[in-house]
Amino acid sequence: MTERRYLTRNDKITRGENNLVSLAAGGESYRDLEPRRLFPVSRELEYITLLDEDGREVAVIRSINDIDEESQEVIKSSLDSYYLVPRITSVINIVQKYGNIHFDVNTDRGPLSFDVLRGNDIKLFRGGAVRVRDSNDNRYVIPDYRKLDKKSRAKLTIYL
Amino acid sequence: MNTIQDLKYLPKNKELSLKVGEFAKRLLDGGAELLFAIVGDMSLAGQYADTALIFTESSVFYVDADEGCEREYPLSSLSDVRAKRMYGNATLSAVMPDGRREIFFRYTYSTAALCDAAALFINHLNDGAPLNDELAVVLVTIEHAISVCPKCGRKLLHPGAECIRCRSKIKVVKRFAKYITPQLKTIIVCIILSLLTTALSLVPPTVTGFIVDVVFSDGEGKSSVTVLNLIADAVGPDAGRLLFTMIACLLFTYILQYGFGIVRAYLMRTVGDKAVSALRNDIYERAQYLPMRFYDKTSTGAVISRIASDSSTLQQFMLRITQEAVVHAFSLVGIVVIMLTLNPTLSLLSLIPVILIVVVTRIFSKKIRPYYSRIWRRWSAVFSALSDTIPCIKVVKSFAGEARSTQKFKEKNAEWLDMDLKIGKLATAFPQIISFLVTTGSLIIWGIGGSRVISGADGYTAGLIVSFISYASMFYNPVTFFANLSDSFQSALASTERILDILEAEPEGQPDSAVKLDNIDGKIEFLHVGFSFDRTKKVLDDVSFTIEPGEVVGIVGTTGSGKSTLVNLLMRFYDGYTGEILVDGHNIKNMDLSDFRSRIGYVQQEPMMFSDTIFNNIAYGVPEATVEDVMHAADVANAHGFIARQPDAYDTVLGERGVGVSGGEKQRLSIARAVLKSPSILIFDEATAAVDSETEHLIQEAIDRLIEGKTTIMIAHRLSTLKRANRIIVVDNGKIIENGTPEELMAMKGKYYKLVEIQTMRADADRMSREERL
Repeated sequence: MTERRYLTRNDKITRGENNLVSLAAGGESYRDLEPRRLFPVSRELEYITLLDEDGREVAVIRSINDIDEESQEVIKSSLDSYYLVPRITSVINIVQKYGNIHFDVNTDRGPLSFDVLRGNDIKLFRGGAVRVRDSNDNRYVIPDYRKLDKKSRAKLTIYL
Repeated sequence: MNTIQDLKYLPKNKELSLKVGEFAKRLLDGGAELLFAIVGDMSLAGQYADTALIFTESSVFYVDADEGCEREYPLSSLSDVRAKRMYGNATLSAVMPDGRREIFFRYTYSTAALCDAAALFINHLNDGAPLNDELAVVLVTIEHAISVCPKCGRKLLHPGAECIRCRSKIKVVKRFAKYITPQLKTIIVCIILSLLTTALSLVPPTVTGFIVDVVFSDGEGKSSVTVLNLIADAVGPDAGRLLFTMIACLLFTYILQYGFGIVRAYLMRTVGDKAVSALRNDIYERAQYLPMRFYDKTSTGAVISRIASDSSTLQQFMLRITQEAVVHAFSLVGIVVIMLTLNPTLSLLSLIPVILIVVVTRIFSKKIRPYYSRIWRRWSAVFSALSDTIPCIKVVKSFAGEARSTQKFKEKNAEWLDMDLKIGKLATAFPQIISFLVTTGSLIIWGIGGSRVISGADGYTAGLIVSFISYASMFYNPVTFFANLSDSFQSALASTERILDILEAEPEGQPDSAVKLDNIDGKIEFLHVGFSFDRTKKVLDDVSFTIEPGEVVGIVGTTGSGKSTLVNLLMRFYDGYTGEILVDGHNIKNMDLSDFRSRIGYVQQEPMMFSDTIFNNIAYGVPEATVEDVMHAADVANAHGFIARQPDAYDTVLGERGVGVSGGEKQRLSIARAVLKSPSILIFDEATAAVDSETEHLIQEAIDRLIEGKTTIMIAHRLSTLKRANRIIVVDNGKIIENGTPEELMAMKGKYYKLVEIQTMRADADRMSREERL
């Protein structure tokens, strides 16, 4: 088993095509790497793995702050485009009828309606984060539901 | 091919927006022949947007109506189109004429299945496939993608299902009425009895009023009730005699009232029990035929609780509606009429607390309802902490996790306690407040009515006040019942939802004209089969292969490569795949499901045994099997020996305390089960993965006997299991990467070669270390 390579400030990540990145590290260079989160739910900017075209891990970024600022930007924008988890900014309405929970919400990517099939798909995490999975397996997040406006909170808390 | 003149007939997954529609109209007017459209939901930059891909025979048009962006890509300019699923979104990309890969469409998972089909559509057309064939595949996919109610846009349980929100509530009631109607006669008797008891319950207050007014005043006064006056005249002026006559009247009334009550309660119970057991039977039967996909989504625990407890909740509600509602409505009307005839002023006065009570109840139930579901959720968290750790107690102990799991349980329990205490204040205060209001109501009658009696107002007597207070207190019962009815309506609605989810779920697909084959030779064909469990990852991708009758085929691949899914699809555990699977040239989707499955012997990695006798477990698929059939099957499966050694032999009940059957023994029982079916096709899914090499040998022997002349598919990790295979299919990442005889694959030096190398090296190392020890 080879030792896992953790990137440092000496390594350089540059933008490639179609959200892929290139890496220059330890005298070697790699193209077409895909940054992916190892903890997509619990750690947004820690433990980011870089996979090559065959899905093999080339290196891991332990924390985004371990690499230089320019590389950080490249990684962040690539991750932003791969992981599309809209932030729910306010709740217009939530109604439950016959099993489906219908959401009308505003997100950071525009207003949206979607259906959640089960109460289990709305999960409250410690610290107030709420994650929602809709009937098409799209994900949504509320970073801290306690910070929503009063009306949104009242509508949402019933389902937490 | 029919050209589409009207956008209405353009196949699409969703209605086109106004702007996209205008664009499509322009294309039509320009003479383009439109094939189909994919309505998307996301701009290339990842914002929600009004987008679409519109396909013609030669081009695909991309529209982003919000950005006002329109692009045309000639199909021939898009090579190697790929649909890539990311996280919450996906992209279609292609290699453009300049040689660079470009993303030309971005969408959420809502349209992912359709875009997968579109990618194949373009690639296949560019490879020269006939347009009509490819279009047909896309059109089917579009049909499947329409899974929202066309009326209200609500997500349906499955494509084409009736939207429960839009369908008439009467139909829903009718659905459940069928459990009640068989008992209609009994119910009518119950209702008549209810009316009688209610009527009887209205008698005593009048009689007590009469006792106070007439009997206690030495027969001076007269009652407003003629019957009582007649009785008084008949008995004569002796107050003592009159009192005992009245008491006798009351006793008689009570005997009748409670006697009818007993009969009614018994009948009601019978009706309820019969209805709920019929409903439970239906749900259970339905649950048996639900597809595996349903069970993947819904935990088995949830299904069990629906059958067990939701049906009871619903039963209670149905009884409340048919029985108590009638009783309470009747007594409400009766009391109001009597009170009004006795004294309209006092009647209006006693309405004051009633209004208060209704208001308080409304406020309360509105406040408390959200809490109930939150408590329920906290409680299920406690419950799952419980059901997670107790069955895994061995793991907990072996990792010294007792303290940690206790801590976790305490946390969940504390959350529940917290929520329950919050609701506790409200819930305990409520009935007290209601009782307080009721009692206060009687004070008003005492106060106003009493002072009228003292001042000798016309029509006011002590007896009137006494009977009025009795009636008024009887009045609150039905009122609170109706005020609380919405509560039990809520919980019944929730139960109805969950029950309907099962009753309405699409059972495993069965075409109207199902094919039953007399004889299956065992030719199996997979044609361009693709499958995805949850739309996030494709488990199988364009898989094609043919297995000839009598072939023994080993399927090899790493964990998660998709090899078990091949079998799941062949067994028709999942129907939502693309492409076709044929057995003896017939599409398996058109075959009679139970007949088809009965022709396949399926031995799983972890054999499941019912808590029943060994005999019944072997004979599970063929209940009419004779003793000797079963013993023969056990012989073939190398199981007879160990069965005979059990003290209860074939009568041994598995799962009972003290019955030790090892994993390898269970595996042989499940092979015997398969032998008894005398199937035409055999499937072994890692049948020897969980046993030691000695047992493996016994099982292998059993398998060798069983597969003689039958088409056999063996999924295996251990390549030694595949000695008998005359063909090997190597699956990797949902695709078939190698397919041929073991010799051919060895010569190819591909994945199979590598796997063999690794396993022989390991076996060699084992042997060497053993020799060294010796």
